[in-house]
Amino acid sequence: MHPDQRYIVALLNNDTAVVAEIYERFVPEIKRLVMNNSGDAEDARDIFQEALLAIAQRAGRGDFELTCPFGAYLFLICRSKWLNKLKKRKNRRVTLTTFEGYNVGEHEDAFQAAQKLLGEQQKQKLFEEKFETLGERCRQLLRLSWSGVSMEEVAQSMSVTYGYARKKKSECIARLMELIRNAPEFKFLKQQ
Amino acid sequence: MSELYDKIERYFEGSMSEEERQAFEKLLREDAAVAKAAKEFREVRAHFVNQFNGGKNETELLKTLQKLNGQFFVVDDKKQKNAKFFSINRRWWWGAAGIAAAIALILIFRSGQADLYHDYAGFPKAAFVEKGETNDILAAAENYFNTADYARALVELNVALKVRPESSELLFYKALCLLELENLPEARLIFDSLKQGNSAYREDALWFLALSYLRSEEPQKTMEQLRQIPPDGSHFSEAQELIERLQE
Repeated sequence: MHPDQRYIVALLNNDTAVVAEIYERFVPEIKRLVMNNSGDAEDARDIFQEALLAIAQRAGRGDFELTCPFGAYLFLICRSKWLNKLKKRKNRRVTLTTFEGYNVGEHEDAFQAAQKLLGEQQKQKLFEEKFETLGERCRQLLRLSWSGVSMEEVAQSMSVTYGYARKKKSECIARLMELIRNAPEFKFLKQQ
Repeated sequence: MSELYDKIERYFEGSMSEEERQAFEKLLREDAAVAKAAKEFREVRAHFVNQFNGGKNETELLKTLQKLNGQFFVVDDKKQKNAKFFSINRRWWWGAAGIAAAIALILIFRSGQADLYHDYAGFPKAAFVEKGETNDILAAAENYFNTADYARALVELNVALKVRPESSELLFYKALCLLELENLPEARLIFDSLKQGNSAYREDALWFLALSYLRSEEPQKTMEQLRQIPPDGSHFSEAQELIERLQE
């Protein structure tokens, strides 16, 4: 485990002092990255916040250990996110050549970790998109039940029997998984 | 297929009897197709469980980040309102004109869709507490919402919703908070269900669902939603105007 794991712990525990240290140490770099590449301070702020939230979310799901310097990891996540944003802003010229900062070759481990996180985020986006296409009852049922509400209570709140709620739930899950599995991008994301 | 998922789900829920659990674990070891389905589903399930429950921790962290953002990123206040400014090619400018020029930084007006969002997203005032009623949670939620502290309002609303999960009013305001905090998928989920229901928030939900796509700069989807607003709907004229501006 890398000693920078403490930053991960701070994000998870919302430890303001250490999170402030993250800002102190890494904001200048990210600002340079974004502002030297057609962005402004607001863009840098948004990217920085998005990246920290993504890391916290990932760590919050457990089974996460930092094996590379936090700075390199954060930088590479911000870099990919910023590139993606630039690509979306069609009306602006994208300059890729002036990216400065971490040399990917020197931080192969950080690069791998960042790619993994971004791949997972893409996958989650797919999960959410497919979830949105489920019917209202399905979404309501799954949302309630996965928020920690017991199936008995779920059934009650939907005015159906326990047995029906259980059956409906497994049907909704089967439908959701089918939608995800059949998405063309799913195979690709799985290989990442 | 759904029978298999019933088993897998009950296994992850932890609601199987000891006997059932052992039998299922044996099946997992022996049947590769079952193991594969369980593995794929575990990831999907973990994501949603985290999303539906992680709200509070993330909101707390978001508050910390937003506070620190103010200290470490100097962003022109005017940006938060209607006009959005940005400086052009800062590096060139600093090099060519020197520090004195920084004072006279050229700002140009940019009218992106993010600004359009701010032009149209006027939030209604919250009034959760009925006359003569005392409810600390609702009062706090109302107060935070009306002072635009959406992160805190969201925390209170989530608590209130545990008691009144079906309240379309609370759900609607929760979705507005999520929209402001840019948790767009969750916001859309709620607007979408309100839009299909027949509560008093039906029309507003449709309108804000459209605005959520404006926020993520997806003009096609914005217009798609706007076109669903009926001519006798409360946001019809605004919607028509916005469609026109988006087509410019």
